[in-house]
Amino acid sequence: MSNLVIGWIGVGTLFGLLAFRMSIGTALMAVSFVGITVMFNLQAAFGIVSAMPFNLIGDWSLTAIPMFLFMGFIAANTGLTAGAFDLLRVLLARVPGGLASASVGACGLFAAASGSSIATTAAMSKIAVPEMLKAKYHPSLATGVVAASGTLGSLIPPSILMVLYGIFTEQSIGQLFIAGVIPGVLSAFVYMAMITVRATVTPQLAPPVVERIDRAQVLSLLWSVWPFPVLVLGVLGGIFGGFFTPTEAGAVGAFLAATVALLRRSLTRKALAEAIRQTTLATSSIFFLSIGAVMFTRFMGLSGVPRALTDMMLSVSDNQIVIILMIAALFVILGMVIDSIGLILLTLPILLPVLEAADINLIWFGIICIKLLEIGLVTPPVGLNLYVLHSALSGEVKLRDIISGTTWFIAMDIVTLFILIAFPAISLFLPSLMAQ
Amino acid sequence: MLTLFNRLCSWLMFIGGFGVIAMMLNIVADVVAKLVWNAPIQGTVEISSYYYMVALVMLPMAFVEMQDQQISVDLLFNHFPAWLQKLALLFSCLAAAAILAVMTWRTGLDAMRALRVGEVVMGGREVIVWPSRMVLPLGFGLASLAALLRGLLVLRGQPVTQSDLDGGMS
Repeated sequence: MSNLVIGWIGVGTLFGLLAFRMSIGTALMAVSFVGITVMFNLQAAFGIVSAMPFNLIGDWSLTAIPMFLFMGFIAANTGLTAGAFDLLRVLLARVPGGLASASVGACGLFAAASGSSIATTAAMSKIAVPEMLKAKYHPSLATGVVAASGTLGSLIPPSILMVLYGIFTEQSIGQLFIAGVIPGVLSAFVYMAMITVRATVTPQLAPPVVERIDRAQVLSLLWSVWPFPVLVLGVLGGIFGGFFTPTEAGAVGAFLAATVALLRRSLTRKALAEAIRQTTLATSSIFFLSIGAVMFTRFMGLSGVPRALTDMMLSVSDNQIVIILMIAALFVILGMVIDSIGLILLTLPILLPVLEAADINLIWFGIICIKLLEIGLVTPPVGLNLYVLHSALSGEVKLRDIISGTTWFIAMDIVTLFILIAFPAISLFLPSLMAQ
Repeated sequence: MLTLFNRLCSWLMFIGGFGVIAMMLNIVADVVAKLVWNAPIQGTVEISSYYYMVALVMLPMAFVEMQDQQISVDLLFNHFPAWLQKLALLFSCLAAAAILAVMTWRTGLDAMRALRVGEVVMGGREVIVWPSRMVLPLGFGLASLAALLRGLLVLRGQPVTQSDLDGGMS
């Protein structure tokens, strides 16, 4: 049996094990270990196990992951977000569907303090959805908007997915972060435009809210969102200006978030302990998965599967756009059944050689890839954001309504995706200005 | 016995969590010292990477395993008949225990070698790393034990999946 055949059998076995609910990390480790043993011998398999986990955990760039997770969980657990929604709600009160657009904007702002879509969705669902339901918004719009906008959490920096992508593709994490800014803002505006049009055409979806607005109220609300500029400037300004590395930015961001919460007297012992617990569990499970992904990368490299796949795809077409569309189709299909971190670590070992052979800019593809993973987060049956929202609302809105509510947003995501593919400059302009 | 093991796991997770705070403060202090006095705190990168991170990743691993927090795919599983669910869980737990045992053994050999030579890394200054190498076999070993325990729980028909555990708590 040739190594290539063993490699393909390994890929097939991997998906079989995943269907059997083996954890993705365990499955990756087991398949790689057995695969390399069959191809060579036990000694070779031991060889990839020995020093690798320690070197991976000790990778300074990966230290950014717990720091950004911690920042997001502190922001979520101490209610750093409530002010942003209130302010936008007042500012957009006259716009049709204003509450929904305010939710989009608030998610975008919160995304700038959080590295994960799940945290963004969880934090915003308890703030924005009840307000919209109270204003007699259609439940599917009220929930769909938060499920979809929560995905801005990964596109607008900081972003855990971008850190992982950057490590596995050897791209600058700082550049990826900065590249995500305009596409993130663009996604938010496309959502808002769609909401405004729909609410104008079908006013029953989002009845106008009667609210008297006085200047003092606006001013006090403006004052309540001061943490956001502080966090954004501290984290993104620092990276963009070359003052610190993404890892340092993460530590500074977490520290700023904690300090802000302390000043606002919302950093209770309970909130802090919960943030630490969530950070620890998430970090440990992400690294467990990453150790498996590194082993799988070695196994795949030795088997020659990525090379064969590259030849296959290039024989179909060597047009970059065609290749990206093929990969996009793969991601959308796999995204329906595998969550984003698992998907990115499962596919990059196989796809990276294809991207390199087609000479695709990996920062640009990174942004497209994150957008695709985000679409996966809201497509059933395994759209994690849908379930996060469903459980955050304690079942107040039916899962079916949430899913139907996201349909319009997914359509908009596809529009945004095509824009991002058609105009690489949207992603690549800001990184080109960065201090080296 | 099981309660004792669970308590040990949550204790280790707590120590790992301490790593988050320590790492944040250390890196921030380093950044401030660098930007203000142009005098970085020597060894910040090495201590963060080889001590805080190792503690943060490895110590909670058994807890993550016990709580079924490893990332997995539930889609087909949820439609399995009960006997097949039980079989799948048992198989997954045993496979996890086996591969984690391999990891324990190899990283353990690595740790012994590091201890023998008194391994250090050279960064801004010399940092001893052999003690942190010891944490890997500890973390993997306990996680392997946790997976084995979960396998036993499956056989005894006790809840082991995240949804069942959550349901049991609330």
